[in-house]
Order: sequence, then C-alpha cells, then structure tokens
Amino acid sequence: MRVSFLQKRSALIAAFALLLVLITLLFKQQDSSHAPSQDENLTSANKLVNSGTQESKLNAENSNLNQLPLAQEKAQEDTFLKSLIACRPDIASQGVASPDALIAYLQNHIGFASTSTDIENYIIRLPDGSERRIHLVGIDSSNSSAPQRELRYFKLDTEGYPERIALNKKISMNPSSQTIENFVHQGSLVLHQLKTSTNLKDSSWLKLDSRNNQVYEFQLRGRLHTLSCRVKNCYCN
Amino acid sequence: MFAKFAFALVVIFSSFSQAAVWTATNDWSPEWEQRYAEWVQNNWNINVFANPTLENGQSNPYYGLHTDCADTVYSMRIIFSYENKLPFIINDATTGSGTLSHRMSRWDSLRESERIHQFLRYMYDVVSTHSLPDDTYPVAVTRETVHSGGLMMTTTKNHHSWSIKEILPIGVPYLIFNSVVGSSKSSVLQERQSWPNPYWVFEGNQTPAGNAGFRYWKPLEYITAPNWQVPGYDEEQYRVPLDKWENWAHARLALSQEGDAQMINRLVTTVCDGIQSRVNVVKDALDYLDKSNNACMSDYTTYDNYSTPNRDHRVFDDLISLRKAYKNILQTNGGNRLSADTKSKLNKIFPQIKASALSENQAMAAQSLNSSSICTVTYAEGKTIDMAEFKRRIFAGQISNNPMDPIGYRWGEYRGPSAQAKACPSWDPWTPDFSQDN
Repeated sequence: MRVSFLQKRSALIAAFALLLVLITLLFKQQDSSHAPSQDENLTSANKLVNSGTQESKLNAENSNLNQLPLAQEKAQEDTFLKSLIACRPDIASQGVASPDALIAYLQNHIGFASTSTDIENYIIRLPDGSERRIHLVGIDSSNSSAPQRELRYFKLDTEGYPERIALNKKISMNPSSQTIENFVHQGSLVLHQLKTSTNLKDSSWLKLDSRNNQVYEFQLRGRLHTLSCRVKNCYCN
Repeated sequence: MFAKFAFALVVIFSSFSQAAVWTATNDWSPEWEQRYAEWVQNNWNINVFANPTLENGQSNPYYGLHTDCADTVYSMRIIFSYENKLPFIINDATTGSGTLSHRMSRWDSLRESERIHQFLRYMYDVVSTHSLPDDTYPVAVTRETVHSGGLMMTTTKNHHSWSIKEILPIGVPYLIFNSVVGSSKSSVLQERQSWPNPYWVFEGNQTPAGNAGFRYWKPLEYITAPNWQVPGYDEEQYRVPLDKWENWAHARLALSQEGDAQMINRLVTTVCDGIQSRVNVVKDALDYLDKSNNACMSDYTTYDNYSTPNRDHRVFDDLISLRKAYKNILQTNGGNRLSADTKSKLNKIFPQIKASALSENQAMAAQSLNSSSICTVTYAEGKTIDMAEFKRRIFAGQISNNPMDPIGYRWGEYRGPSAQAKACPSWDPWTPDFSQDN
C-alpha cells in the first residue's frame, strides 16, 4: 500500500501532538503526586506547583498539614503547662496537664453558663468511597440574634475542592438534629469539627475548636490574661 | 483524518494548559498592601456590582453579583488580588484544614472575566461571617493597622461585617457593606460614615473569642496558623470598656478634629439614609402581603426576609448617636459653632435635649412638616414625615418591624401589633432600649 506525502505529514503531526499530550499528562501526573485526591481527603492547596512564589511556599506547608493531620502542630514546642502556669496558676495547681484535661476541668469545676456553636463540620465517606461535607453555619442574612443555622452540603470536585450541592431551603435552613443525623449517616464519619464560644460561670470566655471530640485549638480569656493554644503549642497574653 | 485527530489532540492539550482562575505573577508585600489600601480607598464603592460597565467602558465582570455582608468583605480582597495578579488564599471553612485559592481550574473552559465571576459566586457559597475569624486577625487600633481594605465585625450574636473603605481624617470609619436581610434584589451596596454602636458590635462577648472589632487579612504565610501567632495580633480593643470604646477608638484614629457642623451633618446623613432606605424595604413586605392575600408568613425564613428589627435597631442607635453628639456640643460650647438654622432643625428632633432621651420623647408632641423639617420621606400616598416625627415614633416604640402589620403600623401611625399581626406567628421583635442613653 502506498502512503501519500499528505498522509505521511498528517501522521507526523498526529505523532507530535500525541507526544505533547503525553508530556503534559506526565507533568500533570508529577503535579498530582503533590496534589490532593478526592479519596485521600486532601485539599486543593496541595495542587499548587512549586514555582517559588508565596503560594508555593504556603502549599508546601499545607501539604504537610493536610497529609499528616496535626503533624505540624505536634512537631511544635509543647508550651501548654508553661503557658497555663503563667495565665491560670490557679488551674495549673490542680494538676491539669493537657488541653483536653483543661476543658474538662473548666466544664466540671467552673461550669459553662452558655455555649453557642459557630461552625460545625462533618466529613463523611460514602460507601462508593467519595467524600461529602456537611457544613453547618450561622445564617448571616437573618435578623435573628437567636442562632439560625444553615446546612451547606458539599461534594468534592476532581481537584479536591468542595462543590456545593443545592438543597431545598426547607432542608437547609435551621435543619433539625434528625435531618443532620440523616446526612451524617449516609456514610462513615471521617471528621467531626465543632467550633464553639462558651461563657463560663466565672465570667471568663472560651473559644474552642475540637476535632473528633479532641481539643485542637482554643482561647481562654480570663480577667487578666488570654491563654491561646493550638494542640499543645500555647501562648499567654 | 490524521490531521483532524492531531488538531483534536492539540485542542485537548490547550485545555490542559490553563489551571487557575488567574495566574498570580506577583506576591503580597508591604508595598502591595499599600497599593491595596489605596485601591480600596479610591475604587471600592457601593456600585462595584451594580454598574454594567467599568469607567473605561469595558463590561464589568462583577456586574449583577448579589452579596451579603461577608461576601462583600471577601470580594474587596478577591477583586484586588485578581486585578493585580496576586494570590488569593483563604482557609477552607468546610473542613478542619486546607485552603481555597485562585488556583481552582474548575472554570478553565470559560473566558477570564467569566472565571472571576464564577469564582466570586463560588466563594459566596463557602464563606460567611463565621469564616472571617480564621482568615483575619484582630489588630491594634492605630492608623497604621486600621485602614482601607481592613474590616470590622460584630460578635456571632449579630453576625455582621463591614469593609473599611477609609478611616476618615477625623477618625471615623467609612464603611461599605451589605445586608441581604429583606427581599431587595439590588446589587447596590450600602455605606456609612459613622461608628456602628460598640454595644451592638461587641454584644455578648467583648473578648478575642468574640472575634468582633477591627481586623485585617492574615498574611499568606500565616493563613493556616492560629491568629495569635500572626505578627501584629492585638487584643487591646477587647479591654476598653464599651461606654468609652467609641471615644477611645476615635481618638486613636483621628488626624484632625471634626468641626461641630461637619459632625452633625455626617450623623444626620447616616440617620437619613437609614430612614429613606426603609421605604422600599417596607414596601416590598407590603407587596408580598398583597400578593399572598395577607396570608400569615408561617415559616421563619419568609418572615425574616420581610421584617426589619436590625434595620430599625440601627436607625435607633444612629439617632441616639446624633442626640449624644448634639448634647455634647451644647455642653461644650453652647452650640456656638452651629448655625441658627441647624440648631432649629436639631431642636425640632430633640426638643428637650437636656433631659434623657426617654423623658424627652414621653413629652414630645407629634411633629408636622415645617421649615425646620429635615429628611422628609413619603412612605405612602399623602403620608410624609420628617426625621423629627420618625424619631418620635421610633423612640415611642411605635415603628413596627413586623412584616404582617399594615403600612400605618409599620411607620408608627398606630401602635402595633395590628389584629392581622396578632393572628400570625412572629419572631425576633425589637423594641427601643434606652439603657445606653446617658
């Protein structure tokens, strides 16, 4: 069979284009080794390529943060006791040795007068392996000073970014605990994050971010000082 | 055949090459922060989403966007970042870690102007006043740290935020903001050149945990760090008693003293904006009632959309501020720097300025229109009142924020609730609180 000049030229162009695509895919593959995948519950920030800009530096930090949850914080200096003694020697003298123990002490010995939830997140994995996020947040467009919550429901796109799934307002606005439970029970729970503000009975204030019932970050404001901690890295001001 | 295949592959290849809403070629730096502040001061305005075209005649990529208060604050930072090829990265509020950024490639198939439009809409789906505390940090109240491009927030209780267009030389914030409470479909934002009531801003929690007050954007290198690790983190604004807070902040930020007449004019404008903008909001509620044959708004969301407790509360607070300012001027210099005309207008609104606001109002007669009337509003055919009469009615608790009330009740001709309102469920009533009057 004779191959014409035009056919040869077309074949060469196609081969060249195919080569370009393969090279592109190869680079993308290398990128994605840093990038989040839906299954790995990683986030978009990992997708940033290392170009030497601010965002790439941030990406490097985020990659570590996301791939090894809390690793960065765990690696930081444990200044909990030192800061607790400086800020609240009265509590430190009671043998409180960890942030979780501190929160339990506050609840049991000082008492919570009132608590409001700022943000509540559930991350679940569906039976098909995909991830869903249930983001419960106060409604800004409301007159009410009483807590009004909106349920925002997300799947993840191919880059690992949340993509909102539209819900009927009757479901999303001020969802009942049963509604929330129904959403959460669609899959297995990966993370439950709760951000609260609490007024304690001694007039101090506690802002708490807990993850799966463990203290992740908090600020405790007393009469004189504010004790701030992320994991065990703390600061008394 | 081969050529077509090759062409298709090249097209596919091209589509892979784009991977961001915009390409960040610059990095944030003190110089870029300065340019950002200048841009906000000069360009950030209430029509940023409302004008179909830009000043240069090009179509406005942000045209038609509807924002709530937090969306507005985030938009200020996003738009500058986009227009100046700077990175925009915030914490992902839907999870405990990670970030959202301009690097999203979801809209790669769109033109750049459409990509930024979609990116903003996407962000509005994720952000809120509850995400702002993780993306911003509290700052010291000085002109170096509180300036154009920053923001003010309330506590969770009142869930509101404002973008700072400028700190005026007189030490007063010029705020651009929005609130989608109500049924308005307008893209025009709101503005005010006066202090929000500190009692409202810090209501329920004047501590760092309350997140209220002046804040600024976290540097990208600290975006995932706790706020207290950000250089410049400052808690002083949480230690100043609320009854002294405004004067304290004002003194910290003022470069020059505001003249008495200038101050009165500014505060009158703020009150008047609040009264005038109420006309259409109440009309929207009445139109809705009309269309629904006065059926009860049985679900909270609809009721909340058409009621006006926060709006009425703000106008009341602004009237109290105006009254305090006038009283203070009279005590300081007898009002000798105000014109007789201005004093006549103010005396119509505050006929017994030496008395408490409550007792003044108890003795205040209904005000008809005359040459001392200011800020007249026509809320219905043949129904026109001035600021003095509106003040009398709202101080007397007659201005109804209940959307089930007919127009006469909404504007305080009669004291509510009306029979119609009584027969329907209602939520979140607001009544005047004179405890801050001194």
